[in-house]
Amino acid sequence: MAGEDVAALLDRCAGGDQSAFKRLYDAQSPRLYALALRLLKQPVLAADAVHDTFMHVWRMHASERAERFDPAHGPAEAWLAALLRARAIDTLRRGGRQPLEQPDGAASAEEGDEVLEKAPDREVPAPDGRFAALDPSAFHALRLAYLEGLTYGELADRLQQPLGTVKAGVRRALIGLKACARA
Amino acid sequence: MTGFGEPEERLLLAGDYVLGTLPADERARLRRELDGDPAMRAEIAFWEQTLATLAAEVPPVMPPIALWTRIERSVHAPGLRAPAMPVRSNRTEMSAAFWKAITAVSFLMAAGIAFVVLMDRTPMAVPVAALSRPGEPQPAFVVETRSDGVVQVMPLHPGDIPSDRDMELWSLPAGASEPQPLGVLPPAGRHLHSAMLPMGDSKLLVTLEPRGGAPDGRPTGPVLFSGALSLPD
Repeated sequence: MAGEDVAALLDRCAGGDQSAFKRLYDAQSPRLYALALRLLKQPVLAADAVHDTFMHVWRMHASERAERFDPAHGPAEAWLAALLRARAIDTLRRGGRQPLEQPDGAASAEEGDEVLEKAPDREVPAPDGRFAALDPSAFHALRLAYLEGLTYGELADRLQQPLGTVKAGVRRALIGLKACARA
Repeated sequence: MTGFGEPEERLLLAGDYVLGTLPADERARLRRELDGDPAMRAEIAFWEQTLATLAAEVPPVMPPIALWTRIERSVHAPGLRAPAMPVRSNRTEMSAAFWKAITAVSFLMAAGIAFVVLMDRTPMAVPVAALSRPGEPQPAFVVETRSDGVVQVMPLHPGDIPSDRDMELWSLPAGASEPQPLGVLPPAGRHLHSAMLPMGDSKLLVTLEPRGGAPDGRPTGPVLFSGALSLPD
């Protein structure tokens, strides 16, 4: 997608550039909001997570303590997604999860189905890149854990598999990805 | 779960941390210990980058316009100097003097109206707690539960805080010795999941913390506001 380099925008935000901050928000907030919705389900909670993520970005310029983006680690988009997920997971782990989820997203109908509609588990996109080397069930568990912010217990319920199997699958995936990275 | 010793243990722990599969206490413990462990931080950075490609399949969704308004307010007013817009314009408990004070601040009105309009379309909200400073009749925040399971912590008169500080919200159930962190509380308020609040009797506390909140999951600063909460079991 054409547009300003996100890493450059982050750098400008770190220097207190408010216009760059707005451009960063315009460019990145839809991705981050969508990710937050997927994790938190409730639009207001998702909005809070996005708010907190952008406040962290803004505070980089004012504070030594705020964790900064390091280009050596990889793309800026991934760093932002990680910030967002950390906020969302914190919320989920503090509050537990509402027992409302149906795979077709029906529980959040009052907010507008089109916003929270998600692909049923069956339509998993084919893994690519490093993920292609993983066995399908391990990839599936990993992907669900990542996108839905599930605990191993919730993952086991969702996949209708024993807890031990699910844990082993995700761990196999993690080990496989790391091995791929070293190769 | 023991330390970060063996490479494979570290890899899995970092992976679980980034995925979010660690239970809350292990997550908090790992985070506390990160400062002194650059190898673990590097491992976590690896997983954040590697797993981020999974996010690509999620189609973007435009956030509500009011979200940018909120962010702007948070950026420009880390400690509000005037009363913030209350959620509803027909609160019977608001005094005439309070309303006069609000109408004097037209800039905040303009920013606040968009916020109020958004909130007026949300599900019915029931006030369940008021967070105030002892001796001050005016609450700084009001806590409301909604029928959809969301709890809103709304500012009424949060006052000033230093720019290098954040307010943080905590819950302290009756009989508990340690407060539970509920997250940084921006002057513009925040939302919580109803499951984050304790059933039965508890206190809610707002403390003054370093930017980003208390680093260790325990309050480090003074209690600014508090209030009693009583939710049916």
